[in-house]
Amino acid sequence: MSLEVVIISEANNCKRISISGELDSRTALDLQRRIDVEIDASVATTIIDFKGLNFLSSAGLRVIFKTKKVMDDINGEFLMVNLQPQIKKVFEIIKAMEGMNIFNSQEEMDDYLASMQDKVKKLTDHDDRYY
Amino acid sequence: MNQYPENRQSIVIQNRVSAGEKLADFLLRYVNSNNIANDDHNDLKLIIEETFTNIISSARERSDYHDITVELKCDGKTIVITFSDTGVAFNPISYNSKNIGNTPPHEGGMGIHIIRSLSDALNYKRVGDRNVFTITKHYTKRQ
Repeated sequence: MSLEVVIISEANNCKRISISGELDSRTALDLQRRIDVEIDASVATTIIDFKGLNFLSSAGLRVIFKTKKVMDDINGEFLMVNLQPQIKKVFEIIKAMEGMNIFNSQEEMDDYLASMQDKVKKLTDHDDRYY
Repeated sequence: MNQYPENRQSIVIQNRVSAGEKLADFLLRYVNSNNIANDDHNDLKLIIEETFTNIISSARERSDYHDITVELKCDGKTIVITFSDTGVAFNPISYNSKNIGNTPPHEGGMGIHIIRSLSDALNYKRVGDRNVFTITKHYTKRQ
C-alpha cells in the first residue's frame, strides 16, 4: 500500500502535513523528502494530521521524531491530530506520548491554537503598552 | 483436543525493501483465510514489517542480497511466524531494548522494542548457514 502526503500552508506560518495510507520502510523516505522541502525556519507550527493513516512502523516514527526535533530546534510548535487507535498504540509502545502535543480531534487542536494565539496577543499588547 | 488443524503457509521473497509489499499481501491473505481479528492483524503486520526491515538492513550493509523464507502457522489461538535466511549470522533480538527510555526517539532500537512488545515469545537460532527467527503470538478470531 502507498502513502499520500498533502502539505498545505495555513494561517500564522503553519504547515499542515496530512498523511494517508501506510507510513513504513517503503514510504518513509518519500515523506522525509517532502518535509525537508516544506519545513524550514520560517514555519512556526507544523501539524501532522493522521486521519487517513492506518499503519505506522518505526521507519515512519523516525521521520516524525526528526520533524519534531527540527521544530524544537527553531522553537516552533509540533502538533499531531486525529491518530487512529492502532497508530496511537505504536506511540504508546515506545513510550513516546509524553512531551508530544497529541490531539484527539481538530476541535481540540483548534482550541489549543486559539489559546496560544491569545497568549501571544496578550504579550504583544503588554509590550506595546510599555514601549 | 485442538479442533483447529494447523494451517501452515510460506512465501519466499528477496531481502529488499520492495519485497515488503508482497509480504504484506501474503499476511493479509493468511489473516483473511484464518479469520484472524483485525487488531491482531495490525500487530502481526507491524511485527513482520519490523522484523523484515531489521533483516534487510543488516544485509544491505554487506550488499548481501538473498532470499528470505517466511512461514506462518496457526492453530486457532496461536500464530507462529518464522523468518529464515542464509545471511550472515544476525540475531534480531540481541539488541537491548531497555535503551528505549533514555534514547532519543529517532535513534535505534524502536523496531526490536515493538517486536518484543507485541509478541508472546521470540526465539533465534543459527541452523547450519541459516538464521531462524521465530515469533509466537496469541490471537483471537473475528466475531
